[in-house]
Amino acid sequence: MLWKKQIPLAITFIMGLLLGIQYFVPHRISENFFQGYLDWAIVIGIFAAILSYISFYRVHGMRIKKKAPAWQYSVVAIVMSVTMALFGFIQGREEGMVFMNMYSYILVAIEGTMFSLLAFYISSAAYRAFRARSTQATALLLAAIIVMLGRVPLGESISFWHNIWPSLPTFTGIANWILNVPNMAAKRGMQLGIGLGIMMLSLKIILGIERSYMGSGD
Amino acid sequence: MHISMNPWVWIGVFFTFSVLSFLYKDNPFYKLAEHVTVGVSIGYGLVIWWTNSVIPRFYIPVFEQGQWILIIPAILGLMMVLRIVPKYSWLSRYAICFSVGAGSGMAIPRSMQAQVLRQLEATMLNLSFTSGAGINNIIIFFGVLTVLVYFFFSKEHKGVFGGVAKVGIWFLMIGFGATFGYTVMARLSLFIGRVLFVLQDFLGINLAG
Amino acid sequence: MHLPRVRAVPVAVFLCVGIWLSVLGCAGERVGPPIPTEIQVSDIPADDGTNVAIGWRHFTASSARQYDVYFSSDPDSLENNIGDLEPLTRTVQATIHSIEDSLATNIEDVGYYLLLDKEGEIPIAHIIKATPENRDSLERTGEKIIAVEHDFAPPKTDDRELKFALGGFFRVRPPEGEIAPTQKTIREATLSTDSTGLIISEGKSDMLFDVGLSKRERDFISKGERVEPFDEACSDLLFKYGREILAIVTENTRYSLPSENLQALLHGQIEAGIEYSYKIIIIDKEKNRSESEVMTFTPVDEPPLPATNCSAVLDENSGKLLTTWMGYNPGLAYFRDIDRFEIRSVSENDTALVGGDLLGAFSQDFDRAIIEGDFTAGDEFYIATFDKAGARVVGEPYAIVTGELSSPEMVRNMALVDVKNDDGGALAIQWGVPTIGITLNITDFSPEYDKKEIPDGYYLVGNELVRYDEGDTAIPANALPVYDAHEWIPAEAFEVVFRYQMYMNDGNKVYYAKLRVDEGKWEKDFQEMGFINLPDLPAGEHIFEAILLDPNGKELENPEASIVKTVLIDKPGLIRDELPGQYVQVWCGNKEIMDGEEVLLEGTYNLDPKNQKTYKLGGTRGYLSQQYQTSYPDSLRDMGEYYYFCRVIDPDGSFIDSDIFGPMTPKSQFFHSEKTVVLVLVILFVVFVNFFLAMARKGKDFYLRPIAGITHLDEALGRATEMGRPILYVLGLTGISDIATLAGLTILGRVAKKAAEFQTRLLVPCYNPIVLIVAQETVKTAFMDAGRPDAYNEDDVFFAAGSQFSYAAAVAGMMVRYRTAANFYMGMFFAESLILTETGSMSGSIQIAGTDAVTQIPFFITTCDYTLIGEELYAASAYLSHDPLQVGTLKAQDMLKVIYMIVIVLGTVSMTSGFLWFVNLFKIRLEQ
Repeated sequence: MLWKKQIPLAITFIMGLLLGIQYFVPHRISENFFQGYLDWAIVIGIFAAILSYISFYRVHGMRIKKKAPAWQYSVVAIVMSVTMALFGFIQGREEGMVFMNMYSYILVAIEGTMFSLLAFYISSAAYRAFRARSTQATALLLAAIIVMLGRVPLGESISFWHNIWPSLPTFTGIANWILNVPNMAAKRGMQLGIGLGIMMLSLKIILGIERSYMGSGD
Repeated sequence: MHISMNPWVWIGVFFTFSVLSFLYKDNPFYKLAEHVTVGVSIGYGLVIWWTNSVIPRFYIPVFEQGQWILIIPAILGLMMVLRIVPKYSWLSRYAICFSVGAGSGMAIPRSMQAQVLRQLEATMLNLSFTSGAGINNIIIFFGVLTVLVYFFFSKEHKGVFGGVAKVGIWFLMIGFGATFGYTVMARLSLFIGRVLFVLQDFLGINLAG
Repeated sequence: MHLPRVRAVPVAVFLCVGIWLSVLGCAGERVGPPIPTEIQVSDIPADDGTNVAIGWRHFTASSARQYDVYFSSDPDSLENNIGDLEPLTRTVQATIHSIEDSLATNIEDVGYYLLLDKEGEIPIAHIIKATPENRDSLERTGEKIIAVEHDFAPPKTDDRELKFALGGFFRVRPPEGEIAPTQKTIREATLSTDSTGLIISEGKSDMLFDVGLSKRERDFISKGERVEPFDEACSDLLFKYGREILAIVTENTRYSLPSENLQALLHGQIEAGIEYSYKIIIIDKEKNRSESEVMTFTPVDEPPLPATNCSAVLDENSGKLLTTWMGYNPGLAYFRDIDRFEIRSVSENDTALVGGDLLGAFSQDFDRAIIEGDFTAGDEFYIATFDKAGARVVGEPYAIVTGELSSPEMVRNMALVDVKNDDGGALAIQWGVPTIGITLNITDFSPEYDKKEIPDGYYLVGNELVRYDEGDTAIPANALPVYDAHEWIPAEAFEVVFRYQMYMNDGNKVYYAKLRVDEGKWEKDFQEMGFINLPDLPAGEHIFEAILLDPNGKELENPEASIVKTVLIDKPGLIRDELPGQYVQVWCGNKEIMDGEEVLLEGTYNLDPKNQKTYKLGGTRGYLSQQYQTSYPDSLRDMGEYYYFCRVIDPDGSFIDSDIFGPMTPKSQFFHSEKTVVLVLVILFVVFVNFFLAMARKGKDFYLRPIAGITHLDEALGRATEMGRPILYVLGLTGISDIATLAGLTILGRVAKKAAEFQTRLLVPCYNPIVLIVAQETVKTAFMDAGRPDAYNEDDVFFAAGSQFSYAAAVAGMMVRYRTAANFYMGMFFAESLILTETGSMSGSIQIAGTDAVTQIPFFITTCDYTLIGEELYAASAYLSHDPLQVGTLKAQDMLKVIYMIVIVLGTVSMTSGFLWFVNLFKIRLEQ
């Protein structure tokens, strides 16, 4: 019990206390300690990564072994990862090598396209918000449209009222006002709440009230 | 127009369209692209992990510079890997507690400074009805207060209290809408980047001229 | 556990090896990159013999990517043990090939020939146009030019031999037809008349002239399309109408022209008088190598250069004698080797300048001195410079002249301080009092111009308007014919940005100022904007006032902290204060610290702390900068004794020195005083929470309002069970140190327990290794607690992918294929959030999200059924736990929010009323 529960909790408490104090001490001992902690965290991460690779190969390997649906694609995943790794280790990572070509023309291409799918998804998300259930969602959408228009040259040209009454702001002006005033207020209020939440959860962890991350049972 | 003869460019275009086909529905091309990218990302991660992490941050400091103390976090990390043996999986708790405790300890003062102090200070504004900036400050002042009221957990949103919370939610929604609109433009420009890749590198159509 | 025995694995390995071998096989011939030319060694003059620059010419189109210069005093090691040597490396950027094919111009029909002058290592190119007379000779001795290119890199599809040549050429393509007049701006000009006619005189704002082409330009254009060699005299026209030729293409060869001189500098790695052998190894992109031949050099410790620009001025009124000199070449300051300067008087008959009275000995940074003694105009001095090896060199003798010297004043309040709240690395010299300055930026927001017709015959020559008769041969070639002029019409009102500058050092706490115009209402700038905007100030004289305020909003009392200026606003421009012409030099010195044989801290050369003439120059600052800060590297913190003095130099060169400050040691502090408020608040927070925890332990019950996302959690899980489809739980992309991920993990524990009870499959794809481990532990424990340890499948909590959008692709695919009934997103998300939620939404899953990523919340709100916004995510785990202690902390959070609101109200009242002490409690400045 001591080794499985008390000592880990003590480690959490001690680390939390030390790093909390470290923030207030500018002495170089404190700086060295912080740097040392960062180095340790990186080394732990290095070894923990081994488990993630084991997990990946195991999951796809199991799918192949059990002939789960679409197991052939798991073969592709494993082969691609092994190929990429082999080329990277043996040939090197310079421009023009297979490793970099695979990176640029496969990984970057696919990731870039996934990112660009967002352009389509945003419009369908906006459409769904438009058919919204509540006035609040409509407020969200209206604010979004105004800011969108305000950030492109189109917004200036559409602001027809500006020619009649120049003192009235254009779309860009309204958009900037929205960004700087109500948006700012909302963000500040949220940040205050989030800050409270973060500090509370951190304190609960350090004091040992919240223990589920350890998996020791509630 | 001059179509590229580079086989890699063809591969890039093939996968670009495979991913785009997901917009219609899931299909074997997308499944292939998905598993290819997962595999390639793992392979890439492996190489980068070795060359950018293991060698410079562990091997060289320990074996070439003599920083033997780094063996301790290495053991902690290995204890994490020991999870695959069920009998010893509880050992991983040491490393987990080390990381989680440190993260929590760091978070409290930093959060207090950045998310409490800074925000409180920035909300203490000069209010006035006579200048535009003054009126804006009044709006910000009420906005922050009503948003805080909205996030109350221990009181029901009824009556006057509920009314104030409702104003808070309006502020929140306008704020989220503004963020939504702001981000949309950035996303669109990335899509244009992919289109240009297909047009310029693959089909050789040059739009810059 | 063991890896599954799968036949695919060996097959895959076999395939990969096969692919690799075949790729290697068709790699093709390996030719090394070209060896550079014009390799030469320059010994840096006047140094101590340890500096040498090795230069060579690198052609931009060459395939070389890296030049390694190997050098050694032992020629054998260059041949045999080159792996042990550390080379000097110069890398070059790869040239990027442009996509445009139009960067090449086919000029085969025009008839240009290339003649090469093959005298040196690299031929010099000449481009000659063929005429009936020389065509035959050109055919024999030269090569016909097919095309010229304007791109650095040769196109990949061409296989002509690549050679290099020297030369600068432009392809000139003047425009056809009439060229429209252009506008030339003359600053601060206006038209007026004198006896000769119209002239340009000084005006208030810019004047625009519509001008035609000068004769020079017209002659240039009239020669038509052609290839011209580069000529400095018409370089502006060559760049305007032409394009630089970077390669000349003949039938079989491509000659690439652009090149640069590269250098590798050996500094301090060699010793004087020893012969070194060196060679250059050139490496290209594919790691092919070439080697130059082995060459030698011997660096020499030259004597220093004599001092130049020497002068001596005697002010007969004050009796002060100031001498100044320049002791070294400023361009080679880094390499200078000087032990000291000796100023001596020239005695009679000492033509060799070996004797004379020693008037002062100064270390290498000094360039001026006040000489004591009885001297008159005409007496002569000379300066002898010694290097560290003892070599002596004398400059020309120079005579004293009479003149006036100012009497500079030492700055006030000079102090040497240890910089607070750092890690022991810095000391600072501070001086002066808080001073304010103002700047007025005046613009005419809608300038109007009055068009004035200029009669024929006027030309703009430089900035002058001159009249010439038609056909006058004296018209200069660069004269621009003028058609019209546009004169600025003085505006009636201007937009003025009234800005103030605060000059002070870190020891003064001054943050605010107040400003007013024309004795109107004071505008207090507590938001530290730095300026006020006056959008519509009428032209005329106005009074501008600014005063610095202390943190409590009170005016500072010293006269330099306030300023009143009467300014005539009648034209656009920038009006600033005149900054004082003096500047401050900070001189420093420190003693060496040894630890046995090892030098822990290098000292200032030959320092005698009591003798200012032995100090070294730390830095120079403007008079109003008021601070000079030095930072010392890691290893030197908390050790070393540093001495300083300051020298204030007047614009005429005379100076005054302060007393010596020090010794002082930079120290690191144990507590960051600026963060006191944070510490107090953290302690109050902890005490407050503990109070509520104590109340909760006593059994006090607290009410919690329902949050939609949390109350519908059970409903979502129930639905998944009914449909018999799995649940997906996404933890976000950050690591375990991010508290949002921890919040997601605590909620995962609760969700996993319910999933186990309902016997629903739970899938948790992870992105971060440590998060994966914790998630596995969490889910496993949850299943055990629910009494269903056998239902736990370790492969359902797995590592999905290594990069952001691969992860998104994998999870999106999972959603569609497994047809998950409920999706949970709890943690920190970035751009991929929308892909996940949209996909889930389109496949009909019920989705509950919780994040504090403010940028992603809008997307979650529009696509998910329920969203936990910000703080609600952190509250969720307390809601779900039903643990009185956790609920107690939520009550504490609420009470703290009430306190926030009170603080905000108090602070706003404080700020609005001008009583700033409350607001100041919350302002902390971390950057010093």
